[in-house]
Amino acid sequence: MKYDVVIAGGGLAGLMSGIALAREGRSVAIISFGDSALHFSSGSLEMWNDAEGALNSVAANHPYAIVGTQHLDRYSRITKDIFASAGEQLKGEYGCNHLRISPVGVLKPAWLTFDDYFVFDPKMTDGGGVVVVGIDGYLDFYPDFIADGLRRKGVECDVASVSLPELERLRESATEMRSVGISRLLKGDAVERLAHQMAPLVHGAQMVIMPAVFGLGDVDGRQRIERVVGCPVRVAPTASISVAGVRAQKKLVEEFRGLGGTYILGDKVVSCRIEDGRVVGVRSHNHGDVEFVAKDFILAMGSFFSRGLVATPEEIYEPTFGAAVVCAEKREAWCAERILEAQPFQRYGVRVDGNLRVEIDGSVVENLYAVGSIVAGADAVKEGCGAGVVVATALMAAEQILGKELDVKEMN
Amino acid sequence: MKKYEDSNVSANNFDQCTKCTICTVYCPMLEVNPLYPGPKQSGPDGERYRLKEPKYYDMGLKYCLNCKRCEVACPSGVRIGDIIALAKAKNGRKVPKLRDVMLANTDFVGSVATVVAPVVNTTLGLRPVKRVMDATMAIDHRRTFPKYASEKFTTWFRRNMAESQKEFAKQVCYFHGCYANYNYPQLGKDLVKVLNAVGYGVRLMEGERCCGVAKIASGLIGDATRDARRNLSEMRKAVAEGMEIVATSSSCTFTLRDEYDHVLGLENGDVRDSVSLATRFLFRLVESGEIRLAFREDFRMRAAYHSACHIEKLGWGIYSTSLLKMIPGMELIMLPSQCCGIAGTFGFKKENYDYSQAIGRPLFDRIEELGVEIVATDCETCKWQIEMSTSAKVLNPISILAEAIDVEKTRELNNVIDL
Ligand SMILES: Cc1cc2nc3c(=O)[nH]c(=O)nc-3n(C[C@H](O)[C@H](O)[C@H](O)COP(=O)(O)OP(=O)(O)OC[C@H]3O[C@@H](n4cnc5c(N)ncnc54)[C@H](O)[C@@H]3O)c2cc1C
Ligand code: SF4
Ligand code: SF4
Repeated sequence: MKYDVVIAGGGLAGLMSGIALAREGRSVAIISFGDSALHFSSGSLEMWNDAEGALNSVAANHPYAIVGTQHLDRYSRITKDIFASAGEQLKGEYGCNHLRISPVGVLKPAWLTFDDYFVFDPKMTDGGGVVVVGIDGYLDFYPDFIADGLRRKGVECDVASVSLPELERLRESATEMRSVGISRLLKGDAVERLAHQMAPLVHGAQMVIMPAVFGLGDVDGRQRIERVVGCPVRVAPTASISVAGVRAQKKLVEEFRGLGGTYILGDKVVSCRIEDGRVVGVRSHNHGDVEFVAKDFILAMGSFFSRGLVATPEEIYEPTFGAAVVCAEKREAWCAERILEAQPFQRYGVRVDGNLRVEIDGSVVENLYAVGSIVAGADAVKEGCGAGVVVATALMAAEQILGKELDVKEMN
Repeated sequence: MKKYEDSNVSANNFDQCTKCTICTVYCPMLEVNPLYPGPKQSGPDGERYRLKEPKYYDMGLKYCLNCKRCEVACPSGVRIGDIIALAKAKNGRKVPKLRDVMLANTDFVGSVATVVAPVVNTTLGLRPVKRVMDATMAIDHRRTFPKYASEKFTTWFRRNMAESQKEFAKQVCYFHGCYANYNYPQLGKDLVKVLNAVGYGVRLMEGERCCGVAKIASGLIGDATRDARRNLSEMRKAVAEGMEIVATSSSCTFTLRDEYDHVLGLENGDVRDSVSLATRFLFRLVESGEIRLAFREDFRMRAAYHSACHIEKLGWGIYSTSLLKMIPGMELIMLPSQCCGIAGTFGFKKENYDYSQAIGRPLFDRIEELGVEIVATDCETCKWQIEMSTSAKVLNPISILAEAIDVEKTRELNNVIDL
């Protein structure tokens, strides 16, 4: 099978590269083994956890230094535009981080956030009460923690709880009182009944915060509740699966397919054929001797969670292409003793050159680019730069392949 | 040096589960039935308990459709559906109901029914009979039954075709499966037509048995294994003669390639790569330039492609759709990838009917909304379900190709000499 570009890995990184290339008319195939880390999104694409500074002084081997921080503003606009065409609005912009709230009520800086998520606004301190509404028996959302977090910021805050017979039924199964199960049931008349139950509990509030369970039932569930209760309803992240992340993954895949892209899920790239310093084709588990041939290839297989990187007691390696990785040789050096300290392994990943190209058997492969969380050098947890590094590298690789800068569509 | 992970394997990767719960997002049964424990709980989680003590087996596992959509989504390669299928076989009801045995023995029931096809077809269609089947066997009376043909594909083939096929220089072995043999011989005839036009003669196996997909789903592992052994030995013969084996059913293909090894524990590595879906076989030949297809100029069709669960697992829908897209008069629309709800014989059982229809509902609605007359799919049970639940007619991509090709021109392009 012949394409212009073949991408291994279909998470945020693979999809952003794929959509950017398909928008420019390239024929692109994405092969992805399983579903991605987007399924655990906090609702925010994090770029850098220190609002103002430090970005310009990142270490020389940090992915942001390779991409060039001067491009980040542009990449953030393109990201918003790609999400918007897929039907998912993001709020926020480069250079002015806002505060999102974590499932345990900690306010954290973020860069771009899904439109329906709560972000802190200093004006809230004198705007009346906020009510955090939980769902009876749903254990992945902690209204009290969220309320405490907001009170620490000086916001008056209450908690309340609601329920519906159909949601109660979910509790019959040991495992299904989860965000996804709840989300599926929030449709039609159930939304109205929930809203009317909430209305007296949140009367006079300036804002209601609910768990992020909207997106797999009726698309306008949250807005309908807003109309009944008469004030803005925002959501806060839940533990376990992120409904907004699932929603975004589905929409981005649809957008990619709509642009003519081929998205293959549940298949694994298993080997590549290199001739004269270039990858000529890759093979997958399901397609056997039918090779995926392309001019350029992108490696977007994620980090340890997605098995783009594998750690054994002896070594850390990239199992698919055998690309060179950056990591300490001695195993003792991989981890810090205390779990909350910066963990060295977070920065391990595939080594890239100034054009994001990877190295195999000691030489740089001309047409194989690495993007996303598999790229070495960033500590997504400590620096709060998970998705930022992903979209920046993904869009840069697309530009390398296209040989030109991507257009920025001005929005609003 | 032996790699660490090579010595750290468990049956169907059950210990690779990171408890991420991604699989639960994509399970169609969980979407409509809160009584189902779901893939994570039924699969890797439950397996830990069952290994300790079989009494932890949960009867809710009977709801699993074996659709494998959970496996497609799992980022850790856990073969969730396989784990569940094996647990069902090991711990589920010890003596299967007569109904389950009948529904699962697609070959035996088929061969009896073909002989008396007109009677069976009318009888199965009659309301009172359906009521009786509902009451005595718990086969839902709202189901329309697949029709049985009066002449089996194999009978037609041996009578009319077997001799002429030997004249072709290139040969391919066709695994027709129960459906093409008993219910819809036209599909087999269509495949012969297309393959002959591009210069391939068709051969059948001696004594092909049912692939076993329905028996595996019903926990009849012993029967399935017997059939599988026979099929494997026939497949080896075909491969030894230098032939590839093609099937027109995605479920047969998937079972021969993957379930024999993963669920039945039979070694099939030596023949696995020789088993292909007919559309994949053709696509490869077209792409390598070995064969060429010419299409009728007057052919027009607007069709929607439904990606069956097992084709999704195989990842091979792309071959069928790529071939269909080669037809100049074809407007092909992709349906959203989702389970139609039938899952082989699952939807025939009375207790499952409502779940089955609820799972497929969004798909049926979409088909009606698009107003397409033809739905293309590689799976026969999806055909039954979609034809029963929508106004569309469902065709295998091979049947569409057979209708669309210009046989004379195609033969010329491929230098097929008149026989
Ligand atoms: C649990 C979790 C939560 C996170 N939450 C946030 C957050 O809220 N905000 C934020 O900014 N960042 C977050 N991050 C950081 C995260 O890494 C990025 O935001 C981003 O989603 C990673 O995208 P990716 O495409 O690089 O990798 P992934 O999303 O991991 O995707 C890689 C894909 O490649 C596939 N793959 C692997 N090997 C192969 C192969 N051989 N062939 C084919 N496909 C293959 C995998 O199955 C997977 O689908 C989180 C990370 C994790 C692990
Ligand atoms: S998706 Fe795979 S790894 Fe995740 S919980 Fe399910 S079986 Fe376990
Ligand atoms: S095989 Fe299908 S029905 Fe069974 S657990 Fe997996 S997704 Fe659910």
